[in-house]
Amino acid sequence: MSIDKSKITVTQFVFTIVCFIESSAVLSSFSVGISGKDSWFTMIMGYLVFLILVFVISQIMRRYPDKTLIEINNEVFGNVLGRIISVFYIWFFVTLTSLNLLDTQVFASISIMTKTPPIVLMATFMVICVWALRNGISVMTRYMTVIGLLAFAITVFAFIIAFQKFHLSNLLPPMQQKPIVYVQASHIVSTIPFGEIIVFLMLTPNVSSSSKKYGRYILIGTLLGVISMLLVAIRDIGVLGETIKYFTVPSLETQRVSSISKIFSRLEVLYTIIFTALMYSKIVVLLYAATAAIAQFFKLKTYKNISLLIAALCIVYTLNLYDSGISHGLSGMLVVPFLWSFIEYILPILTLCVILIKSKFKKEGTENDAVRVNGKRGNLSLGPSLGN
Amino acid sequence: MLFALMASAAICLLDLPSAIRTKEKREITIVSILSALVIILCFLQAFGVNLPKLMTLINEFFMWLGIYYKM
Amino acid sequence: MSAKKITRRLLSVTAVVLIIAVLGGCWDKVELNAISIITGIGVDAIPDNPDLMNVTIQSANVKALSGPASGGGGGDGEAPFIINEEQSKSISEAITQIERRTSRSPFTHHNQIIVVGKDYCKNGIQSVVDTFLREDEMRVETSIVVADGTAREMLSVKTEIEKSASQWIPGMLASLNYNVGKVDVSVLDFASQILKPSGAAVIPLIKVEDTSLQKPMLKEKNAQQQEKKDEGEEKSGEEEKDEKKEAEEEKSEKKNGGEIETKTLSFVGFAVFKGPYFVGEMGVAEMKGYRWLNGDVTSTRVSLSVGSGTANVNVTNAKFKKKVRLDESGKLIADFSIIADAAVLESIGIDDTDIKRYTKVLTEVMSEQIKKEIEDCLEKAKELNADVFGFLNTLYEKHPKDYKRIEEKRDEVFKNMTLITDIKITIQDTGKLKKSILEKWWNDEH
Repeated sequence: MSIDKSKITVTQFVFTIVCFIESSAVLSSFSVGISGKDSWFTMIMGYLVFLILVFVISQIMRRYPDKTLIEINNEVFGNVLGRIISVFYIWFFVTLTSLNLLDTQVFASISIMTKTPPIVLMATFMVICVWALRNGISVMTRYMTVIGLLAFAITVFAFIIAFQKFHLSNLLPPMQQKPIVYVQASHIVSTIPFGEIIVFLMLTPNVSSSSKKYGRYILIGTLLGVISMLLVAIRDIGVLGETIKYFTVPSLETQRVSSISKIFSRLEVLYTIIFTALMYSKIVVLLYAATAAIAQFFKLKTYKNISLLIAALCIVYTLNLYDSGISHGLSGMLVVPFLWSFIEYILPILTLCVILIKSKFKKEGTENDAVRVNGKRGNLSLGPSLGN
Repeated sequence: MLFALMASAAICLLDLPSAIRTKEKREITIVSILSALVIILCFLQAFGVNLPKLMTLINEFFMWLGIYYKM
Repeated sequence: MSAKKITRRLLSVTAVVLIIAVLGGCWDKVELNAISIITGIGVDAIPDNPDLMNVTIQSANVKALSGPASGGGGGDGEAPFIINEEQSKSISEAITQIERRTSRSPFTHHNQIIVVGKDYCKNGIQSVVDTFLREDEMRVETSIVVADGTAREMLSVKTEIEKSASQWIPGMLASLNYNVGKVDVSVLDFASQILKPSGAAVIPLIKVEDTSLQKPMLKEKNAQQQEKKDEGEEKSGEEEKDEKKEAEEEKSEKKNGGEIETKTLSFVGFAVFKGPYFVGEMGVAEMKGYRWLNGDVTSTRVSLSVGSGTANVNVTNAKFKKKVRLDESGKLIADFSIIADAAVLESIGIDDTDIKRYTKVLTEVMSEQIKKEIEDCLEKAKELNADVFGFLNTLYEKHPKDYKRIEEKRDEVFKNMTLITDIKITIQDTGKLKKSILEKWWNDEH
């Protein structure tokens, strides 16, 4: 049973996922710093690995269509173990919210508001997110379609204006690096951002769909998002060439360099605007997931009563995540893929395994019960019919 | 400091009254405890107390375990 | 209206006002009259001190630019720019030091040009490249040029059409890009090039020259000075002192924005770099071959000598094909072909009665000439050991396995490479004339 009774349409759900993935296109420097001009390839590889998670999520949702992740954990693992696992997920949601808030603040500080104190940027951003959150999930996701389409349009426009500086030779030759580079970069991409889709398990009960084909919705949403990501990656590699590995935000540099004569130049402001909108869409979903998860964990009636305090907690947490930006960058490349893999892949796979084992035992148990009750096989007078 | 004060004010004026209005003892208790914890954290941050950098600690733990990609 | 609704409305309005106040960027506001817009940055070497650099900052002189005389120039001789100089270890440090003696904060977002003195280049331009790629305020697409002289001199001159060198140079490079072929190099372009396998790149070489009006006057002045020397007039100590004082006064006048001589800036070739280190120059003669080999020619004029006659041809619609391969012995072979159209602009002393023979002769001579230009340029590049044409890059992109074979000795491979050119130029028209009208005077002596 969802903690928020309001419903969202399938389109809103799909575009929320699109915005969620597109926002990460702009923060590709974790994997781009490793794979350089092969990052388009590692993106595709990462997506293929992610399809495993899509299958797992869709199977879990098929069996528990009206339950959130926290409720599923309690149902599958029992009260004690379920709550322990939920603590991991809650920590994950809160950490993700803070990390994305940190990325937004750092980007804003570098590009447009260099002198504004970070706390002011974070606080005003969170005020908007909490405002949307307190109005419910339908208000939260209302603008996702517009933002998603606008972001895609700007990506295409940016690709066109960068064409003057685009050199196809910068993409050549492909696949000349050591295999470990591709493994590492694909691993990073499969966890950041694709694996983060796990948060949508907190939203799926609110989707008003008769067919409940969540796997399909997630697949469509992520596919649209990855097309956008690939466009951005190919454009950045074609424009920046060998230097792409060295920049902290390659997409921003590409936008700075792109222009149509002197009339349309300095277009990085367009990129900054859409980036802020996309990061809003990501952070509001993460904040909802974190707040709803905590509310369900403590069995509160509504998550809205703790929205502000979770937002404040996220801000304080953001200021105490890493001791420096360099540490953050290194962590994202070297350690976080393993950490996130445990929560995004191993735990859901474990959950699905337990569900399958339990349902198998349940089937056999029900069959045996039917035999014991009637003394004869196949003669069912009590319990549900299992068919002959 | 300003942020800590504003956050505390927002929590006390919006979240706590909403929780109190539900008239559920459990709800009020939990929200109050969480609010108190968050307000304390905000003020600790405001007073410049060196709070532990959680992700850095986790990083170092994983590196100690040897679970990371080598540079 | 209930109390709850009123409270909610008040809170919403307060939140919106707070958000607008912050997101409007008021915190980061920078008033126009509080900034000094930097339009050009120059870096020179200091002969006695290789650890320091002489950084010249050219800023817009807003007072002079917004003066009563439209079209600028300054009725009272005030320069449209201000020059500040500082000796420091880095550009950022220089800007910080200059801040201490100006009333406005330096604003580098609108910097148009980076000028690097030739002497400074010899020690490598690492500092310039790193600063402009790394610092947030600097833009990576800023054009970079090498001054055949000092950057200080280049940024201090007043130019004829534009108000300053920082406006002239980007305009000139853009015009050359459009009319001739890609000449402009940004910091990003340079960095991308030196990171590629060949590791070589070029930067436009610009020289300060006297204007065409000044040249005869200067010639006369030099002649007078030579006469005096020849007559053996010895200057007395006092006369020498007077002359020195005059020269110094002129210099300080220039520095304080007094009457500055108008000069012109010419594009005289390319400075060739291997990595961040300057290795040599390519002059105007080699430049032509460079443009052909890079496939950068949009249109160009070729002067031909055919026997005792001359012709001038405009080559357009050029299409280039470059194929690179390694033979069994590891020798690099490049097949380069040009297919282009041409139009005759001028033709004197060449028999054009038989149009087919005429065009054949012109085509042959043109092909030979272009081939020679290409070969001369390649020889120069081999001499400098700098593959500025990207043959090694093409080999790496198209045949990475072959490249890995020769990676360790790529410099040697480039030096020993063979270039096979195939030039097919078709003369499409002979201008407005079918034949020359001056035929009967060709053999006249006058």
